Amino acid sequence: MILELAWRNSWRQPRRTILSSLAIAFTSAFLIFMPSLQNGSYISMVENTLRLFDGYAEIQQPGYRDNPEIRNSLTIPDSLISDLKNIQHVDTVSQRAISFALLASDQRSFGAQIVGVQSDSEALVSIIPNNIKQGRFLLTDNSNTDEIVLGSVLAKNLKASVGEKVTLLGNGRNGSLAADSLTVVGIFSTGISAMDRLMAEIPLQRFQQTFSMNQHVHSIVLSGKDISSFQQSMKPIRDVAIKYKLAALDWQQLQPGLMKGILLDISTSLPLYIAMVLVVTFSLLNSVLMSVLERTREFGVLLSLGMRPSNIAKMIWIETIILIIFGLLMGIALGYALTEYYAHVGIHFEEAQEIFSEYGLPNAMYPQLNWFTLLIGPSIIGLSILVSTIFPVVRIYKMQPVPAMRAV
Amino acid sequence: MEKLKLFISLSWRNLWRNYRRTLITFSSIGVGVWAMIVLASLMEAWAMSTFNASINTLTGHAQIHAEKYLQDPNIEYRIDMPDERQTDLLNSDTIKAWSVRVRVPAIVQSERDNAPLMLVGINPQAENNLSFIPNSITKGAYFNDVKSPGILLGKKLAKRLRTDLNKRVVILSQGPNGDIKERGFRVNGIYEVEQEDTESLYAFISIKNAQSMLKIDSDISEISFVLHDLNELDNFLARYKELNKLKNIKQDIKSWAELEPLTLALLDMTSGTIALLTVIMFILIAFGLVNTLLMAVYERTREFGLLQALGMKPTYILYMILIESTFLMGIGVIVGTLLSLSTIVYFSNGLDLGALAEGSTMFGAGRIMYPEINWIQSSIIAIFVWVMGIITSLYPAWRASREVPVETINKAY
Repeated sequence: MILELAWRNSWRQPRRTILSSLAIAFTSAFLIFMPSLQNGSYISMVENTLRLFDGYAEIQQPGYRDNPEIRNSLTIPDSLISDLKNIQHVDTVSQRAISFALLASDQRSFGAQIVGVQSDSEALVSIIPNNIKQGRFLLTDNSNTDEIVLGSVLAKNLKASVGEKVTLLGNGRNGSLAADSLTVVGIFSTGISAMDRLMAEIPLQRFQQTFSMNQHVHSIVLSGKDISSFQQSMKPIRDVAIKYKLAALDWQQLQPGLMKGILLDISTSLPLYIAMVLVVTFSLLNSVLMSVLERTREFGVLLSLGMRPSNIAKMIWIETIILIIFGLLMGIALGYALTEYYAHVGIHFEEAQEIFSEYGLPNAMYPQLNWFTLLIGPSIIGLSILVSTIFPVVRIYKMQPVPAMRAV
Repeated sequence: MEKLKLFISLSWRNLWRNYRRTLITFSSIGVGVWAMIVLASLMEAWAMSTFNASINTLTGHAQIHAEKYLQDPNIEYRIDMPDERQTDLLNSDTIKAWSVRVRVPAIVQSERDNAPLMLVGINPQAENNLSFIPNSITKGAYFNDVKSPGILLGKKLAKRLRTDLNKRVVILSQGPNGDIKERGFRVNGIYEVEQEDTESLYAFISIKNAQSMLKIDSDISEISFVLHDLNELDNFLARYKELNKLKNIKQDIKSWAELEPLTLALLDMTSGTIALLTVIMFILIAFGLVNTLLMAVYERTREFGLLQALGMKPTYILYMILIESTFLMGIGVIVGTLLSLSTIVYFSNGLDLGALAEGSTMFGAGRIMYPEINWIQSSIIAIFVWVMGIITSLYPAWRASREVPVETINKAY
């Protein structure tokens, strides 16, 4: 009976009920859309940053991360690569050797980060092979091939073009002089200035020969389909690394600033969300409180007829819950539709393209909906409205039947 | 006039007949306005921090280079020291600080490792008020004059090279004829800045040393300057360009906005986001406001009927409700604004981002935010919410004025 009473009461003032639930709906739709948008941008930011060069995880000699010098290298035991490949979600295992050296053309000389790569798997862990603007990428890892690909700015600075020779000068692993003469076969342009300005790639075995590395490498780069599923495999990856006395670094260790950046973004948007929940809670509190106050006479009658205050309170609770359910359902439907729509078409920022590409973001943002972003906002709204309903309910317990009936 | 006074006192009293409702509505409006203004000022502080960091990192408010230098920062592209008339212009009151620099790509070698960097020859005194360098030396000493020996390295780079104060490093760089110039330097000082990338990007030597090492006489790579008032920038650049045109000097003169398009994009995006959030917040407030006023109108239908029966014109009732909403919004907006201003003042000595600072520096901003009261922006937000609130209350007010006297007086609850 109380349920029915509450339901009917809700529709005695349809305009108020609709306005109140619209307020809930609007806020919850916003609180679904925004976190989903943030979630989507974080995922794509992480993916895009890692796909530039780092991969989803790396195996290194312990200490190499802090001290990336040529001596901190590792030899690869026969079973290591197959052990890594056997781990679920690990699709790509690619080896790299890295050193800094001086590149010189006929006219100019510049410092560059020289990376020895496995030509076939490099394309799966770095964007360099897919962004060759002139010429081609390396074809083999062979030490007989004197090939090099250069970043576009580096090539421009060196005034070197495809087909020309460049000389490499650096220090080998054993401290000896590392010198080589290489032919530019390709020039890449990634849009990331640090890469285009500084990087050059050569075949891994050529690198090992030139820099007297024997069979050593500096890093084993792992990659998979997407970062969220890959992350589940970090535990077995670490276990394998420990088995061979090596260090495994996940994406947060490879890009420490990125996670902090995400946390910063979350914590700056939280006050906004809290303020929005407060505003909508206050306005709902007002509406429930008034619906109680304006019915003082009616409640007086009910009380004198023998209805217990707890039953009236129950009625108010149910009325509020009806309001909340109504608003939240609308809000979730609206938020879901809006988010899914933009998840397909994307939100495009024409003007901000540059800023996004600098941080490894594409020029469109795609919100990503999951159970958490779908339900967290609406449930907080619902809960805080429920909590605030305590105030009007307390008033009911304070009512005396006779004065209440006489109230205007 | 008499009537207006009457309306005002009527509305004011109406507001306090149900003080609980009024207070809750105030709180809702107040919290909304407070959150908007505080957030807007924090976002601005963040954007300003990015702006200052980028200005301080050698950019200045504008720079002058040889043509082609920006596309290819090479020793080949040099300019002469500013001549007499250019110097006069740079010494004018508009300019707060200016300096000339030699800036070329180089390689640094320590006993243990080597790394690429930008070698910058500076005039130590002129960098005061212009760039971060003089105030960032945390170990060792800064240079005394344009001929001081030694080199200043960033902390991160020094660590990577495993070199330290008073140790020697060798700098290799290309001379004007394509030959490699080489010179040893003693590490004179270590500098630390918030952006770690900067620490491994730049090494500083005195300008005379740079010029003699590279054998470029008194040639320079760039002139950088900051103004007292940024609004004067376009004007000043125009004067400089005119002077150059007169003397037929071809130089590449660029403002910070052209040198750092990312910073400009960030500033633009911030103001866009603030506007969008203000509108969304207002919509939320409006729902509550309309609801409150509608209810206030409904429960008083008998009263309005009576007032009309006593001869009050329907339009007067409309005015009365509008004045009530003006008060309701106004007090909420004023309280919210005052609260937000005091919040901003409270944080104006610096809001330390603490553990999150690394994320902030990654995006090019600092670790401590200094929110400032932006009177124009705060007033725009406050007045926007206020005026839109009054416009929104037209609907409940219009409904109230349309009640038919006899029906409403007889209306039972």
